[in-house]
Amino acid sequence: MKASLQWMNEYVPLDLTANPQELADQLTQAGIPVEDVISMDPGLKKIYTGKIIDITKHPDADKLQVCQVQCIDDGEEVVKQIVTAATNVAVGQIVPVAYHKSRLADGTEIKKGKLRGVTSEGMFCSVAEFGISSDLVRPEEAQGIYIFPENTPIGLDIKEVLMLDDTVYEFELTANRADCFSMVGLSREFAIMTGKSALFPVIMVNETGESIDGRASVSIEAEDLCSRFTSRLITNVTIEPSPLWMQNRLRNSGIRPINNVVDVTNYVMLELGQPMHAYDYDHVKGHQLIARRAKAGETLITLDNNERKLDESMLIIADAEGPIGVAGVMGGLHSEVTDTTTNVLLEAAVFNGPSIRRTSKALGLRSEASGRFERGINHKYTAYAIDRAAQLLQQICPTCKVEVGVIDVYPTPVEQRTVMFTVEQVNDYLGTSIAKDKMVSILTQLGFELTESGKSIEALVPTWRDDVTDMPDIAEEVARIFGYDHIEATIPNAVLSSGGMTPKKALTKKVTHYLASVGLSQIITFSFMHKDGLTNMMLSEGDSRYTAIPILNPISEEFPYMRTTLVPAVIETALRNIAQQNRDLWLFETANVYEPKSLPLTEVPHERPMACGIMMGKTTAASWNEVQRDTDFYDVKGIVDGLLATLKVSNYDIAPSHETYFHPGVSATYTVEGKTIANFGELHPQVAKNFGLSGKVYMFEIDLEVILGLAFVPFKYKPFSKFPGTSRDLAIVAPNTVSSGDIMKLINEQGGKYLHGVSIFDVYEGEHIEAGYRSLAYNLQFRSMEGTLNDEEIDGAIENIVSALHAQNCKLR
Amino acid sequence: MEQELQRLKEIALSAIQSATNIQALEDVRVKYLGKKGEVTALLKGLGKLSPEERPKMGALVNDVRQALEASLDSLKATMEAAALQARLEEEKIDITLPGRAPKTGHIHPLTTVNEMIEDFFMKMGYTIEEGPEVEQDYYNFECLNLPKDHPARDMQDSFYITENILLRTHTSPVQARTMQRHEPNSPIRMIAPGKVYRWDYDATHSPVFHQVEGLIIDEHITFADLKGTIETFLRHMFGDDTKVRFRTSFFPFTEPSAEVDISCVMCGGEGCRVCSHTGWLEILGCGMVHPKVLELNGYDPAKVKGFAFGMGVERIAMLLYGIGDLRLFFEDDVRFLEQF
Repeated sequence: MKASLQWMNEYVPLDLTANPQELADQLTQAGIPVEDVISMDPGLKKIYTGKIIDITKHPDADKLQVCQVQCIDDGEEVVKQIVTAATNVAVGQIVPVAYHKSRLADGTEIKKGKLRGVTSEGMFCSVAEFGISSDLVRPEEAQGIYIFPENTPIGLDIKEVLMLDDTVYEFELTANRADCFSMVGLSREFAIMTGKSALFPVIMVNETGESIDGRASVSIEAEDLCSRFTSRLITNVTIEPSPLWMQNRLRNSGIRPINNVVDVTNYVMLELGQPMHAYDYDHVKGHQLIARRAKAGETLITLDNNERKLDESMLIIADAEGPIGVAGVMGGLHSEVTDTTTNVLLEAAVFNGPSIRRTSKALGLRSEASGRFERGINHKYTAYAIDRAAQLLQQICPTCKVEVGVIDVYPTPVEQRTVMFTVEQVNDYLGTSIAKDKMVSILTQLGFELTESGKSIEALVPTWRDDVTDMPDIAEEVARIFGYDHIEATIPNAVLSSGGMTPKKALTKKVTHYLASVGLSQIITFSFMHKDGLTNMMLSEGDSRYTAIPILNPISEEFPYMRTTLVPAVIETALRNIAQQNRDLWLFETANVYEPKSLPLTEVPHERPMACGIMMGKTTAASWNEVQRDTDFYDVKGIVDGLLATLKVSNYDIAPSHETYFHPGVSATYTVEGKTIANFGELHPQVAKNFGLSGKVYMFEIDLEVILGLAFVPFKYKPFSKFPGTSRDLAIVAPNTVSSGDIMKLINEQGGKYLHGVSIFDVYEGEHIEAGYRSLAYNLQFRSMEGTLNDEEIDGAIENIVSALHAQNCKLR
Repeated sequence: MEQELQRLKEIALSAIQSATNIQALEDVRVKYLGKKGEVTALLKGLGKLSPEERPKMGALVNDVRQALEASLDSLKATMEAAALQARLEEEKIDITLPGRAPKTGHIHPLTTVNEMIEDFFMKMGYTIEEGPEVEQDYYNFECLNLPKDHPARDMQDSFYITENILLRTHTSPVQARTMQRHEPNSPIRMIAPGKVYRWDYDATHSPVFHQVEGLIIDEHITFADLKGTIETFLRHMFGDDTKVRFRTSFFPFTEPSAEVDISCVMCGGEGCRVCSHTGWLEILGCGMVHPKVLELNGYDPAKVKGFAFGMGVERIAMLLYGIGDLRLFFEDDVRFLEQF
C-alpha cells in the first residue's frame, strides 16, 4: 500500500515540511511499517506549463518543427521558441516546457541552443523526463510530449501540476491490518501518531435520475461467498480522462489512470478500502448481476483478453446469460467500460477472502482488489463506497445522472463485536502499570466505544478492526500506542526448571564435537535427493532407500525426494570442493534421513539421525618436518572406533560390509545384537567413478538412532593395580586366512585372569615368511590387583595361548 | 715443611687457573686432592710427625686443601655456566618455522551459533525440544491459529508431501507438540532448534534453513518479561552494548506481537549498507502466545500466559561473522569451514 502525504493531508493535517522519515519511524514502531519513504520529485528544475500558439516547419529539417510557446518567465509573459521533433504537438495545447538551465529526471540539464541553425529556448517533455513510469500514465500519454488538459493555466511548475512535489510512504502492512489498506484507515494511525483527529470524507449523492427499480437487479446465490452486494446505476456518462488531481493521486499511489469511471472505482478503493467494479450497463444481459458459483465448463474472457476456465469453486458475477466477471479478481472483457459506454452499473460487494485467495491463485491473477478481499472488507463501508463513487463521478463528469436508489443485498448483517476487559488484566498481561485514563484515551482515539460497568470495560470494536477479538488484542492496541519502548523489561517470575536437552540432541552434539576434534569438518547440506545418487551407489533394486518420499512441488529437478541416505550429498560436497582444488577432504554431516512407513504418506515418516563422513587425500597438510601420507582404511576405522569408545559403546561385532557402495575387501560393518551401528571403508571404485571421483575415497555411515540405545549407559570407574605389571611379546606366523581379530580374540580368551591388555605392534609379509602366511607381533600386558606377578604365573597363560594358536595353524616365530 | 706446603699451594692454584676446561680442572683435582694426590699424600704423611707438630700441620694442610677446593669449585662453576650458555646458544632453533599441529576439524558456523543460543536458554532453565521436519499441516499451521486459507500462510510458501503433510515451514509446530504432550496448564520453558523449509531459492533465500523457536508458559508471564528475556539474550549474542528495539508486528500465533531489531553490528547504529542506512537490523519475531493457540493445544488462557519467539540461525550467523552470502553455509567449501 502506497500513501501520498499530500492526499493524506486532506484527512489529517500534516506538517509537509517536516522530515518525512520521522513520522515513518513512529508509524513503523507502532506496527504500521513504512518500508520506504519515496520522494516523487527526481530533482526536476525549471519545467513549466506553456501554450503552443504557433507551429512552423523547420526550414532545414523535415523532422523538426518550430513552435512559438506562450510562457511565464520571472513573472513576465513571454513567447519562447522551441524546436521539437515531437509529432503529437498542435497549436492550442498546454505542454510542459523545460526552460534554459532546467533539469530533467535523469539529471540532464537543458540549455538554450540551436537545432540545425534555429534557436530553441528549451524543450518539450514527455512523462519519462519527469521520472514517471510509462505504466502509470494513460496509455495514450506514454509516448510523445505530455499534453495537459485544455484549462491548465500557463506558467505553473509541473511538479505542482503533476503532484511531483509529493512524498509517498510505501507500507509493508501485516496481514491483520486490513483497515490500513485505505487512506481513511491509515489516516486514523497518522492522526493518533501526530496527536490530531482524522476527518472522514463527506459523502453526499445528488440523485438526479429516475428510480433504479426494475432497471437493474442484484441477487446473491452463494451467500457463503458473497455477504453483501451493493449497486448503483449511473447514466449519460461521458468517458474521458479524469481530472489531473485524481490522476495524480492514483499515480502517486501506484495505480494507472485509465478513464473517469475506472479511475473513480480505483480512487474509492484506495480511499475506503472497498474494491469496486464498473460494468457497461448496456452489455449486462437482463441488467442482472448474480453472485454465484461458476458452473463446470463455463469460461470467461477477462479484461486482459485471456480466456479463463472457471470451476465450481469460483465465485463469479453473472448476468442473465452467463459469467461477466470473476468476482473480486477480474472483470469480463465484454461488459468492460469503454470509450463508447454511456451507462454504468457500479458494484461494491464483499466477497469471501479465502475463496478470492484460492481463485486468484488458481487463475494466477493477483490484484489490488483481490489482495483487499483476501484480508477482509469492512461491510459497513460497502454502502459508503457505492455512494462515494457516485458522488465522485458526478463531480468529475457533470453530464452524468445518478439514478435514484441503491441496490443493497445484505442477507445477514454483520454484528459489531464487543470485547470485555479490565485495566488490571491489560496491565497484568503487559507487565505494566498504565493508568486507566491513558488506556481509555488510546482506545477511544482508535475508534473503540467504551462502556464501563464496575471494573469491567466493554469495548465496542470499530467495524474496521475485525482483527480485534480478545483482551490481548486490546492489550496490543494499548501497548503499541503507549510504545513498546516505554514498557520496562523484566525477567519471568515462573516455576524453577533445570533445562536440558533430549538424549538424541546430546548424542548428536557429542558426535559432532568428537568428529571435529579428530580432524573432520562439519558440513550441512539440503535434505533432498535425486534417485540417481542411489543408482550411483549401486544399491540393489529392492533396497529400502529407493522408497523415498516424493515432494509434490520440489524446488528443482535435482531434488525431487526427501533423502534416505546422506551418502550422495556428502559425495557431492566433496566434488564441489574438488572442483575448487580442495583435494584433501575430511568431512562429515550429521542429519536426518526420512523413512516413510508407507507411500503415499498417511502419517509423518520416521526421521533417523545419521552421521556420514568422507575422507580422502593427505592426512596432514604439507609440512617441513613431517612426511605426508594418504588417508587409508585404518584412518576411518580409527575414527569410528574412537567415536564408539567416546560414547562407551563396546562389544560390537565386526564383519565385512555388505553395502554395495563399499569396496568388498576394504570395508566393514559393526553390529550389536544384529543391528548395524556403522558401515565404513573404501568407496567402491565403480561407485567413485559413477559420481565422478577418482583416487581412493573412504566413507563412514553411523546410525545414531541405534547408537542412542547403546550409548549413555551409566558407567563406573574401574580401579587399577598398584603393582608393577609385566609384558610379553609374541610374534606369530599365521595363515592369511586367520585375521588379526581372530588372534586377538584367542589371546583374550586364553590369556588368563591377569591379562590386562593386548596390542599389535607389527604386521609383516614377505621375505623369510612362507607364502600365504604373515607375521603378526603382539604385546601382552599382565597385571594383578594383588601383587607383583612372577614368570610362572604368566607362563601358564602363554602356554595356553600358544597351544590354542597351534590349533589354528599359527606358530610362534 | 710449611714452606713446601705454601709452594705446593701456589703451584696447585696456578695449575687450577691455567686449566682451560672441566677435564683439565678435574685432572688438577686428581693430581692434588685425589686419593693419590699430593695434598692427600701430605695429609696421609701427618702421621709421621710428632704429636706436637701434627695438629698445627694438620690445620695448615687442611687450609690448603680447602683453598684448593674452593678455587676448583668456583672455577668449575664458572666453566659449567659457560658450557651451559654455549649449549643453549648452540641449540637455538628457528622458532618461526610452523609447529606440528594436531589435525583439527571445524564445527559448522550454524552449529556453533545454534549452540550459543542453546547454551543461553539452557542456563535460563529452558529445555531443548525437537520435532519432525516432515510435519502435519495440523501442527504446522492449524494448532498455531493458521487455519487453511489464512492469508498469513502466504508468508511461507511450503513444500507439500500430501495435502496434509508438508515440510515444516517453521519450528513453531514443536511448540504445539510440546504443549500437547504436557499436562494441561503445566509450566513450559523450551526452545526448539532445527531445520525448516520454504519454497524459495535465490541469493537471499535457501529452501532449507535453520530456526530456533522458544516458548515459556506459566501463571504470571508478561510482555515485559518477554522484553527482558529477549534483550538479555540479544546482548548475550551480540555484546553488552547492543541496543534492542521492539516494533509492533503481527503473527497469527502471538498477540501482542513484536519484531525485534538490534543496533547494526556493522556500523553500531550510524547507518550503513548492511542495515540499509537505518542503523537497525531485524533479528527476531516474538509475542505473547495467542489465547487461541493456548486453547488449541489444551491450555486455558484464563489460567496461564506465555510468550514465544522465533529466530533465523543463518541471519544471526551472517551478522555475527560478517558473512554476506547465504549460499556459503550450504556450499560447504572447506576454505569457508576452516575459518570457524
